Amino acid sequence: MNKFSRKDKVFDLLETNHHLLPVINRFGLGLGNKDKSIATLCKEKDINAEFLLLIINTFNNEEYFPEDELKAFSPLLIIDYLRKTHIHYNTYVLPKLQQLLHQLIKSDKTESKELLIIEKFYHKYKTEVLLHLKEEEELLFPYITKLINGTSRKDYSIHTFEKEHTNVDTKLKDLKSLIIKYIEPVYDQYICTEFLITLYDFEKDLNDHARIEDTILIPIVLDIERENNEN
Amino acid sequence: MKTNVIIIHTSTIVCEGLSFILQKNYQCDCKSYRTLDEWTQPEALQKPLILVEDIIANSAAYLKFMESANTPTSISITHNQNTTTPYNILINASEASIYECLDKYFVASPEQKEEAEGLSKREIEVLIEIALGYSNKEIADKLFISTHTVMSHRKNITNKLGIKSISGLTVYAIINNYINTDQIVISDLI
Repeated sequence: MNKFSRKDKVFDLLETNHHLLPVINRFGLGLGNKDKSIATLCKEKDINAEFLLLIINTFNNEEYFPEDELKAFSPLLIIDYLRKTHIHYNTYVLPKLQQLLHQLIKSDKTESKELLIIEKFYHKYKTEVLLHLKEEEELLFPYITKLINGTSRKDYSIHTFEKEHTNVDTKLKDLKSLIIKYIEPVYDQYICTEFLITLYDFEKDLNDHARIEDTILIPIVLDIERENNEN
Repeated sequence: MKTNVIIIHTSTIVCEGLSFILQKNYQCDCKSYRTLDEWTQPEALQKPLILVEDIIANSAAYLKFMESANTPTSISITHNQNTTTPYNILINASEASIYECLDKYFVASPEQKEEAEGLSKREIEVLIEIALGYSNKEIADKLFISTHTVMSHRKNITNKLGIKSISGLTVYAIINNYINTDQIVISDLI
């Protein structure tokens, strides 16, 4: 698979993989930029081009994940990207899933209890996701920021956080199995299709998000903690 | 792919007993009737397997039905010790010989078997306890099996269904009516 480079244009990027749209939005790259290259746009908008390219290439190609190159970036840059991802989830994806599910239930003329139970299950899943995001925003990211700035507590470490960190992907997979295999299709199939596609896209994005956190961010922080303890 | 089975016998005990034995061992939908009249033969039932009391089987009405219908498979439930054809089950037959007779109507091709493969009876028992919120140890004690066995069952259940979380399994149990939803509050479970 070809890697995107600084010379590429946004249009070509999206033609290759339109799922990159939310990703480039997180960087504030934007549309309506005619034929400007990524290099030019990043310079104009004060975006770190190397970092952006790494993120979009790892998103586009699951097999491509140059850990060392990624670890060379400041954790603050990574946290900024992850924060923007959270905003996308909170303000767009989760409300969209909720709305589609609501429409799905309304489209069921038989008023079966199955979809209502699914709604309760989704609600539980959503609560878990929101908790996971909240933990990161209110505990993990501030801790890492303080660590970088040298103002963190001596007795707190990332292990404290990791132990309580919730695992969100199990229920998402269960939701897929339940809807695809076991729920009677008494609803509008187009609405269900849209719901599932949104769910699949969310899953892919979450996996990508988790990979950056677990394989890049956490190890960087562990290294810094180790260095601090040695001094 | 569940097989539809129709039982026509004047004895409730025979109907219930046969129904229980069949559902224990095969993927099937069983319906029983005391008389042929009771069975209105909806067209939706395609080629059901019919287990019928021999008196009814030999009646004119039944023979007429067999001629007109799409030659469903019909097995007589009989008192006659001498008959040993594949289309007879003795009223006092053992469970094993009942299965021996019926196996051929239910044993499916490997593909069908994989498609039809739902949870076994034991797995359903374990699933219900999981859904009700019991721990592995509590389930083991309740069902008189080891904790290790419970964990094995859980693994198999997850592999078969593609559902892992307790909430997810609970949803599955509820929508398949393994749990009586009149007696529990759904919000508590999920």
